Amino acid sequence: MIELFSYDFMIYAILASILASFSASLLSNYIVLKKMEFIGEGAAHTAFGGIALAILFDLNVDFISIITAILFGISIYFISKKEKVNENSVIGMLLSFSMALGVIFLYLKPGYTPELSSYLFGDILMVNIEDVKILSLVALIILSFIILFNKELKYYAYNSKMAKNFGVPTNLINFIFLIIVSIVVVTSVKIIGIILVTSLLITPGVIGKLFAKSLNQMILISSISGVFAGFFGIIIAYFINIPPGPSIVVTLFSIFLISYLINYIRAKAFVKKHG
Amino acid sequence: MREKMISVKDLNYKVEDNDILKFINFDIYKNDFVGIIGPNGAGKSTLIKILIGEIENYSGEIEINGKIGYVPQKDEFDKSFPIRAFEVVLMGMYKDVGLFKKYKKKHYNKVKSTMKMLGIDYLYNRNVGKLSGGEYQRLSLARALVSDPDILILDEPEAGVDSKAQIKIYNILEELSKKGMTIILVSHDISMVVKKANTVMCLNKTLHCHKNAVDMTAEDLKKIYSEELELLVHINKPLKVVSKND
Ligand SMILES: Nc1ncnc2c1ncn2[C@@H]1O[C@H](COP(=O)(O)OP(=O)(O)OP(=O)(O)O)[C@@H](O)[C@H]1O
Ligand SMILES: [Mg+2]
Repeated sequence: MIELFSYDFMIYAILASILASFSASLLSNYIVLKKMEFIGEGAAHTAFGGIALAILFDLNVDFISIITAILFGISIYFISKKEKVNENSVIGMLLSFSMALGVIFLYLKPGYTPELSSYLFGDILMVNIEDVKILSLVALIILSFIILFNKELKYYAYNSKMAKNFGVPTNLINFIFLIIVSIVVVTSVKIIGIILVTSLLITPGVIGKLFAKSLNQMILISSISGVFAGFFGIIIAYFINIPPGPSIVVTLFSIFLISYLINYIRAKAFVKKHG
Repeated sequence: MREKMISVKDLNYKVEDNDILKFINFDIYKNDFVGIIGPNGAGKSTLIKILIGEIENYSGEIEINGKIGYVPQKDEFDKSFPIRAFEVVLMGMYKDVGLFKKYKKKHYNKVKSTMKMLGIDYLYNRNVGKLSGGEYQRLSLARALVSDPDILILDEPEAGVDSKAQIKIYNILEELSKKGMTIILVSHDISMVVKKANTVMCLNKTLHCHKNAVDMTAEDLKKIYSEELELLVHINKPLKVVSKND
């Protein structure tokens, strides 16, 4: 176990996993409460198009995927502001469009396959110190966002139309939120993978919601669960030699199952006690 | 002359090519207690959403003189949302606080006293999803009142509320009206509106009547509820003899 920490790559991977899980968990609360579970998936799949484009033209993958994700966030914001088009429809269309472009780009690149599964499911060996720095910065930004806009985010998630009537700048919050989700998704891709990042953007929030009486409690519970899964997921991945993404997701889902059971038993006990 | 609180001139509102509201004109003065009645789909909620600024793409001129408190027709939210009653009421004072600042002691005190006035202080810490329809409706009223509005607008506050709670809400409105608040009440409870309000507007796309509650006749109701007239005439009979003060 100790020798695990003597490899630089492993330390980076552990840090990256914890940071990515932490950021995603923070956002998961609002995603779950606002019922926009689809958004993470949209951003991740859209980023795939960007990644493939970067691979095709030998561009910087990180840079291009962040740009794609931000463009994705901005498009969703503007298209869904028109009430006629449902946000989920827009995401569904962009998601498959960008995924399709991604596949076309990779087909155009002769003899290419190696890194693809790394992007789909995450890869411990892909993470470097730069990624850790970026993920730290992202985590810091999200934490500040949640602290600074605590009440606005709460009302936005609770009932954004009503919040707007009471003067909460919901458009601003919505805009920042969409961009931030997109950024978290693309910066987490190396460690968790495109296919599985959705799990981190949903499950911690669901776990938190099972127990929380207030939103801040929910944020606390979800981020603890997320960080826990991020840490143990990566260690398990290392020992049984599988990609980190699936391992983190399975750990997280196990936490959910246990929480669900505890909550179920608690509810039963409550009914027994109080009739 | 009394202070003019709301003035609406030549208000028209269309969605696609459908007229939702047509050529609406009225003034509301300080301390008016206005009841708005009309069948389903008459445009009552739409008119109110225009007054509170939720709908902006109308044509016409609207002047509002004072702070509005708003109790929506229905407030859709997730019953399992982890938010407590006082937090929802605090939302009513968001504008006083704004970005990057926290609610202060005086805001919390205001929430407490308002909830107490409405008889729901025992709900203060309760999760909102656990409230009954009537309790939530009063919470909604508390949220509208904490900002000390000059004008209170309520969209069917009696919907889904039992008659005891309804009477409670109407009594509170009467109290507030006595204290000088301007009240606009949308309701399907015509007899209650005619009893409590001092002016009534009959709306069905356009204003079919706008007069003192005591002058309301079956004819006025006939204009907006042609098909259900039978029933309404029946309701209307005792109305004419009801005066504002009993
Ligand atoms: N966003 C919208 N798009 C299209 N039509 C709308 C929209 N909102 C409302 N309408 C239409 O406008 C008309 C007025 O609706 P509104 O909700 O104002 O009626 P209401 O008088 O409040 O009815 P109720 O008594 O049922 O609450 C209805 O015909 C409704 O279908
Ligand atoms: Mg209505």
